[in-house]
Amino acid sequence: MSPAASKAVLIADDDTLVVEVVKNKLRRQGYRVASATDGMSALAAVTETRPDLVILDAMMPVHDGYHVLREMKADPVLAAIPVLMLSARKLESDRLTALALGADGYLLKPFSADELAVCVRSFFS
Amino acid sequence: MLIAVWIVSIGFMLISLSAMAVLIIVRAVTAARSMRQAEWRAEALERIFKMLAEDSTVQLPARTPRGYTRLLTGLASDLLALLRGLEHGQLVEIFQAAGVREILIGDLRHWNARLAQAAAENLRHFRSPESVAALRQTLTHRTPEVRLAAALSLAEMKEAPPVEELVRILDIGSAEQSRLAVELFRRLAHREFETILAIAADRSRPALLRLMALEALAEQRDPRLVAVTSAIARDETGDIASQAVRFLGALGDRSVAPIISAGLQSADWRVRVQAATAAGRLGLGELSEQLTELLDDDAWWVRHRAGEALGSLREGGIEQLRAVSAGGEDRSRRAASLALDTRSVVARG
Amino acid sequence: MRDFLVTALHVVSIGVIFVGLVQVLVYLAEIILASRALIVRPPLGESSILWRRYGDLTPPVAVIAPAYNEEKSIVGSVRSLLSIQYPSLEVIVVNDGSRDGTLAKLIEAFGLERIERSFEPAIKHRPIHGLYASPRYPQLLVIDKENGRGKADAMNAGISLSRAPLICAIDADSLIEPDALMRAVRPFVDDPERTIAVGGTIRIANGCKISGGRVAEIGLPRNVLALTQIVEYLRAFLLARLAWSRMETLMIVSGAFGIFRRRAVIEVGGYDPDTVGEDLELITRLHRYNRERKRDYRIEFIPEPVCWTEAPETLEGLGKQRSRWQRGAMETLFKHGDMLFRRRYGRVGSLGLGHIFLVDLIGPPVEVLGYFIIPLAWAFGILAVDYLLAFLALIFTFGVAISVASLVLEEIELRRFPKARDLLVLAGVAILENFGYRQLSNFWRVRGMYQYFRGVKAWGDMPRLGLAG
Repeated sequence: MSPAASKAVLIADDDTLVVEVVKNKLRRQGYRVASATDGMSALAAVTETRPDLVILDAMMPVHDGYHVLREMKADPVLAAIPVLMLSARKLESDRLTALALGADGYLLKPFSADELAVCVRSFFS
Repeated sequence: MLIAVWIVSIGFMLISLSAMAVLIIVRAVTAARSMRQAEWRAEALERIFKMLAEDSTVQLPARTPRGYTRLLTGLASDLLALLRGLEHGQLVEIFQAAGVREILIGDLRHWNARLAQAAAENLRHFRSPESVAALRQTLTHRTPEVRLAAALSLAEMKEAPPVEELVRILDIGSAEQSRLAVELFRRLAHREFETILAIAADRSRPALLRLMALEALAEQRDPRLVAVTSAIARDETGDIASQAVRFLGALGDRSVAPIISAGLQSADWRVRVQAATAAGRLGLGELSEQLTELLDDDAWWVRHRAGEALGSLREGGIEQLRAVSAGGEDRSRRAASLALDTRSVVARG
Repeated sequence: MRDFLVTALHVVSIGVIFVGLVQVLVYLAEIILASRALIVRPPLGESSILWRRYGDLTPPVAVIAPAYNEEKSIVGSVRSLLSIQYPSLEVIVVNDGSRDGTLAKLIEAFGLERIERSFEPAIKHRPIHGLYASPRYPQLLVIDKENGRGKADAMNAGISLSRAPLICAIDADSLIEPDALMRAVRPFVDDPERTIAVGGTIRIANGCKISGGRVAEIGLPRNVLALTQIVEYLRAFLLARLAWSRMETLMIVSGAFGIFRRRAVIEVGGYDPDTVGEDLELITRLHRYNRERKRDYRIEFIPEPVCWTEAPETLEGLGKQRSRWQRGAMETLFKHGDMLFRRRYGRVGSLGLGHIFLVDLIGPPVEVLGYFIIPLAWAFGILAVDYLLAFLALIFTFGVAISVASLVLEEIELRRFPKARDLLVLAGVAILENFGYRQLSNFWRVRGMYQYFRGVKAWGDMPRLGLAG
């Protein structure tokens, strides 16, 4: 049994291609993957479905990824869900902001799908 | 005479109305086609994912050759920009087999400059003698943005002509003022560090060109850079001197203190601002007295940066600020106490 | 006596037709310039491409949003501003002494605390009561200032407090496209030495689906007035502004969205709080200042949409808005009238101000005069039918041709309307707007002129529909 079995992942990104790539990669590894394309629906989905991991884009419409992260970490129930940021912002300060807000990982775009898969796996082993 | 106005106006009206009618019809027809395109895209993505997962080399189906390959070209541009690592290489192979590279090479000559520029950017993924030859030809394209895009791609493929030649062909610093030239120099810095450094040091060149060359090199950790930048900071004035002083701050070599000190006394406030910032970044405690004097500078930015710099100095800066805020000149006192107050707040700008 | 009347009527009619003809010729020239500009315009791609292309090279931008009594929508607006895609962004909200809970809402939603921040006393503005920031939102700064002297004064306070080399002026209640900054900053990257200001296309949000402060889906409104304004805005932006920027004589960057080099604005003393058309006046002053110093500078326009605004849907609201715009144009024209046709100001004085002079000052009253005189004189048998036909041609047939042509440009180059049906509706509107709306609009302009000469200064509150909320 792989650790992926029955784990639920939420990918939130306004770029539908990113969503498709990530979905496809993770589904092939046995995860259940749901998606959102803006910050508000991402928050709603997290609250409702309580996934085991959230992959967040930094720049999304309505609420950006940082806001979603802040809200999650402020909520006692959601705070425990690990968050992996997947962002095109390569400044050190952006990475530090994300980590300070409680992100558990920070991957840069362009990304390697294999690296992402390994990263995701590490949260569950 | 007056009746002619009437007749001409009718003519114009008929022309615009019929043009609009044609466009509406075209739109109605293409609506159906774009539905089909969406299906194609989903299907192509599905296949591509499958090929990536199985590492197979099944070809993408060749269908209505042109339209379908065009769609794949768009997909290639998005996917190749998004992914790196092993899958990036696989994707290049898949798209190459589907004929995307040929489409891109053709697009370089497209009348629509947007397509030509996108093609010049995307060809960088498809390393081959054909791509390189086509991109080199594009260096003399009529649209500046397309020329630069071709140069940037060539630089990334490590196939660019010598820097001097690029500067001449693209006329960087004179006709071409785009900051993308900084990016171009950055990509060439590993190969022609010395040439770019020489360009920055050459007083006969346009100031903008020298600044861009300097900016591109500033992130390199090379001792020779300090000497050249110091010379520029010493010999030049105005904008170019202030930029040079700024880079000195970024280079992290504390031996440039005398030049920073001279910069703090410059007649140009822009140089003083950058010198104060650099003194803070390099932690030049020996300049704290000069910085304290600048708390009473006429230019607000100089007072502000001097206060910030003092606040960031390990040895004695804070003490200086405290002393001044307790009883200095009116303007200095205000600058010092604000610097003390804002020290805890995240620095902006 | 009768002879005199006949001659006078002929002279006036010829005058009316002449002014109309010049305006039509200007429009035709605009069509040619704008289509050329759209074809050769610098290539621009989607935001992801822009990010890759320019991400490392873009200068920091401070977005300045003045807010007055907007407690209902302010938190949503600021969230939306904070989620603009841009590498280095600062958001400065200027609370212009609101009497409602605007500031309290902001403090609560973003956990703001009072801070001290030293700032360059760059431009004069009303006193500041306090500055607010939060460590959780390092990009955000809220300025609480004393109310007064309108949006211009609030902008000036924001400009003084900002530290980025570029500032972006926006209305707190307009809806910014997510990649508006990435697009509009391009001239500052491509031509950093000369560019001092950039404007973009403003479009109408009525009828669009709005979600979280963004236009999610483009649609057409049911309201006829709003529908007509869509065509009107296309004509103003895609034809006029594009053409004028091509001639280097762009005279206005809309207050709803504009990026400026901070230093250039400070040099000319910032916005003028004593005018109702502060956006038009600022650009004119930038032209003036830089022309007088013989500098090589650029004020650019990008045809891509950058933000969406809510159009008034009632005759009263629209009428007030238009009369106000007219007063603004008059103020600028009289303040800078000495630039008109002066060599020193080159094309800005001749074509730029000349255009405002013709279209905003002379055009409307002359056309209104024509409506009264020409048909009547023809009916009484004083004028030959040629005169009537020429007048009708200038107003209606050319009017239709020009309205439809701007729609043609939109469809060929931008294609922002999703359905063929939308295009059909808009084409119908483009034809019909010349019968009724055009006349109303001229009436409002003439009323604005009257108000100007009477010295009316009131702003005319616009009833808001609260799209951002």
